[in-house]
Order: sequence, then C-alpha cells, then structure tokens
Amino acid sequence: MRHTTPDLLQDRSSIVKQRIGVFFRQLTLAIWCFTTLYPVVWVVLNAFRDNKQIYGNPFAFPNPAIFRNFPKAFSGVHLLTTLTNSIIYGVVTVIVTMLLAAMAAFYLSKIARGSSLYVYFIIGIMIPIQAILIPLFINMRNMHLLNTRLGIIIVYVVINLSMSIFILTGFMKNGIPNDLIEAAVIDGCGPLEVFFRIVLPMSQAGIATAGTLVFLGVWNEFLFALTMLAAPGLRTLNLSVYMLRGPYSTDQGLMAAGVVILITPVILMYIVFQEQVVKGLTAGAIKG
Amino acid sequence: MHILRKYKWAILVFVGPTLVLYTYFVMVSIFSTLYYSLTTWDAISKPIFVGFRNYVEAFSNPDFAIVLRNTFVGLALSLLFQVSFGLIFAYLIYRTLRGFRLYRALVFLPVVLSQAAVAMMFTLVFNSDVGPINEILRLIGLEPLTRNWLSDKEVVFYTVLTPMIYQYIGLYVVILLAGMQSISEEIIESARIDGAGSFRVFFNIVIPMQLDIIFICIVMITTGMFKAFEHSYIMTWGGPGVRSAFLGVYMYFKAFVHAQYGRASTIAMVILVAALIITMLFRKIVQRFSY
Repeated sequence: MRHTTPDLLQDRSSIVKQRIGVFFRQLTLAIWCFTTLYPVVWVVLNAFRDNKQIYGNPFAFPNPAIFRNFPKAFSGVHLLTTLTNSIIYGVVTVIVTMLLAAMAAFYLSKIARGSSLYVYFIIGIMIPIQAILIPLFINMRNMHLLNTRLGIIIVYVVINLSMSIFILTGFMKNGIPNDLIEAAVIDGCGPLEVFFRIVLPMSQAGIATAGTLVFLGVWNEFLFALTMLAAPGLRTLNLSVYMLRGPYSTDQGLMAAGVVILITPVILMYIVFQEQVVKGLTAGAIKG
Repeated sequence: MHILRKYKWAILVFVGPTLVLYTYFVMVSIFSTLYYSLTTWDAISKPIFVGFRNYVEAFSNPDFAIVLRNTFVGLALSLLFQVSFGLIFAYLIYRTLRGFRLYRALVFLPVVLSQAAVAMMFTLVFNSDVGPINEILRLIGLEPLTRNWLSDKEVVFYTVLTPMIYQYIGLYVVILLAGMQSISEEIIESARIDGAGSFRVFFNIVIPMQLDIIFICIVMITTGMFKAFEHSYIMTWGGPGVRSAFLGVYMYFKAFVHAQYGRASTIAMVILVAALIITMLFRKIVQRFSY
C-alpha cells in the first residue's frame, strides 16, 4: 500500500470491504467443496477399514489400513467379467451411435437443412425412458434378445440417438463450412465421399463430446441393465456392485470397496479428460 | 445445401437406418405403452382391453397418491435447492479469480459418478449404526434427532431425496456458470461504476439475463425427477411400503415385481404426460418473464 495515490486512499475502506468479500467467497466455496467431497472420501476410507473399525469411530482414519475388502469385492462383483462387459457395451454403443448419429446429422445440417425430421429426432430427448421401458423389454423378449449383448447394445444405441443427433447437428452446422463441401462436390465428390473424407474427420471434436456423454451414460446405466441382464455373465460393473448390497448384507467394508472399484475408472477418466467430460455432460444445455 | 440435394438416395443411406431404429424402438414403443396402459396384462397371456380402468384405479389408490406426492414434493425441493444453490455457487465461482478451475472441477465430481454408486455411498453415510450422520448429531448434542434414516417412515423420503439433490447441484452450477461467462463484462462493469454492489448485480443483471438457461435447468430437473429410479430403488427399495418411492420406482415394481404390465404402463404414461406438461408449463412462465 506504499504507493497508493491520494485518490485511492479514499477508497481504502472499500478495498478492505472487497478483501473481506474475497475471503468469505473463498471460505464459502471451500466449505461447500468439502461438503461435496466428504461422502466420497468417507466411503473410500471405509473401504480400507474392517468391520471392527467401521463400527468404532466413523470419523477415524483406517488404522491400520486393511486391504482384504478389495479381493473380496473383486470376486464379489466378478470384476474381470463385469468390467469387460461394461467396456464392450460402452465402446460398441459409442461407435454405432456416433456413426448413425453423424450420418443423420450430416444429412440434417448439410443436405436437407430445416428438415422436419430434425424435430422428430429431437423429441426423443424429452421422453423419459420409463415411457418405452416395457415395450422395449417385450420386444427384446419376443426377438430372443433378452440376456444378450446384442439386445442391450441395441437398447443403449436407440436411447442415445436423439441427444447425439442434437449435439452433432449443432456442431456440423457451425463447425464445417459449406464452401468446403461445395468445393468438394464441384471436384466430383458424392455425398458418401464428402461425409467420410471431409465431414467425419472435421467432426472429431463434436464426436468426442457426444461420445463422452454416451460412454458415461452406458457405463452408469442401471435400469435397463437391471431388467434385461439377468445372466450373471452379462452383467455390467455398475449392476454387480449394486448386487453386493444383499438384503441381509452387513459387510459395510465390502460395499465400500465395491463403490471404490466402480467409481475409480470414472474419476480417472474425469481427471484426464476433464474438459471433455464436462463438455459432454452439459452438452444438452450449453451451446458451442 | 442445394448442391447435394440432387442426390435423392442420400436420405436412405444417411438417415434410413437411424429412422427405422428410432421409429420402431422409441416412437412405436410410446404407442405400445399407451395401448398396454389400457389393458390388464401379465406379459404372458394376451392383453385384455379394459379402457381407462387402470387410470381410475391408479388415481384412487392410496399408494399412488403417496408416490405422486413424493414426486411433486421432491420436484419442488429439488427446484428450490438445485436452482438456488446452483445460482449462488455459480455466481461465487464466477466472481472468484483464484481457484476458479479447481472449484468448478470439484463441484462437478459427483455428476460423473453413476447414480447407483452415489446411492450406495449414501446408504453407508445414512446407516444408523456406522454412518457419520447420527454420529455428528450426537457430537453436537442433538441425540434426540438421531434416526434410522433408511427405515423410519417419517424421514426416509428426505433421506432418499438428499443424494438426488446433492449429486446434481454441480451440474447446474457448471451450466449456469457457463451462462454467466457469456454475459458481457461491460454490462457488469457499468453497473458497478453506477454503484451497484454484488447483490444488486446478481439480482438485477445476472438472474434476468440467465432466465433461458434457468429454464433449461428447470426442465432437466423436472424430467430427472419424473424418471428418478436408482437412488430410491437402491437405498430403500422405495419403502417402507412406498414411503420413499417415486413414479419411476413404483412403475418398475408394478411391472417387473408384480407382473402387472398394464398398470405399470399406466404409470409410465403418467410419467410421460406429466414430464411433457410441466416442461411446457415452465416454458410459458419463463417466456412471460424474460425480455
């Protein structure tokens, strides 16, 4: 404050006020972040405590840290099988959905702009999945696709089409210049060549956003997995961790370890691709 | 674009497969649900058409009344807490230079977790023997308030609602924050020069300019509440009875536990219609107040 001009000296009280303001803002945000993270941290700590510790002081750190909850949880959720299933469902759904949605989005944004088909596809965003749950279940049963990988993947693709088309159409409208496509067509490219050589490579950012949303959606999906995947060998990780919560299970450490196994891959993904994940999960609400 | 319009076959190749899948599995399914909702059906024998009997029965059923009330009270509380906390914390982060990215990253964390994982977490947190909630109450001398949070029928609804609200506050913070960042600095600066404090800026500039984004949040919260399933199903199975059930859970039990697919479809139609009506209603309200 040594070099303050007389002019600014008058404002000293307002500077103090501002500092207090900054302090309280930081304090509020810090407290709130702590509250947000505490349940997660508490469960992670519990995964490293045995039942004796868990039934002791709930705030204590694991002392000593116990690791045997994890091997129990690994076998309890059939980690290898269910993790593989979750990855297969996620990756295949993303590939199929992105291809279908990108093709539709290309048509809707570049070939037939303003087509009423766009509205028709977008309506799907507003439809709660319960409104189609029973017919989908019955359909899959009649086609003998209950308890199959193909069946659940078809369901995951169709429930993600609307949102993906919405994101990709918006992206292509603004992100790919019409001149470029026109030039390619004049050079003799047909729609297919334009799509695979120009549109698809240039849509990478949009596809990454929509793909992240779809992958996380499938990874975290519960209701369809619960109704359509009764066979243990086909279950997802998400579903089998829930199944650790048996009606009479009192093994709190085991449940905590299950939760840790389930959330670790997503949190790692979030740490590595933070911007991408935030963009994907808010894509419906935020333009651009 | 006119230059590609001449390729008439393009619609078949680019939109055809999607159109068929989407129409058959999504749009036709809605009409199937509508039809099933007018029948008595166990999904094995043929559906028996009964007209609106399921609807009459549903709306005179005391369980359904509880579930409906849970859904609407849950919606009201979610709107109240998620929108107000969303706005307040978005504004706090928006006004904060140091730690902006860190705060944003931390508050968003629960959003990326699966609802099942969060429900499991809170099953442990609210556990009356080992969870910290009762312990905190004991520590601050509020022993009489300790409960069996997951089975006491007076409080269980709020127990289940807590993680539902908790998990997605961060989502609305980030959405509203993005909206605030799109307000031009000049408007806020000139208001400050005119002597408006943080509160005035918040209420007179930020909120009015955010109405369309607030509307999007309201729609997301509303549709989220009508399809709410995991938290309630995993934490309490909607119980005791249907005390902590929402429409989505009630529908699931009707269909996949009691094999009453007709009645379950009726609930599904209520979910669909309510979500659509409330979305449109809020759109009207917001349009009236935005400028």
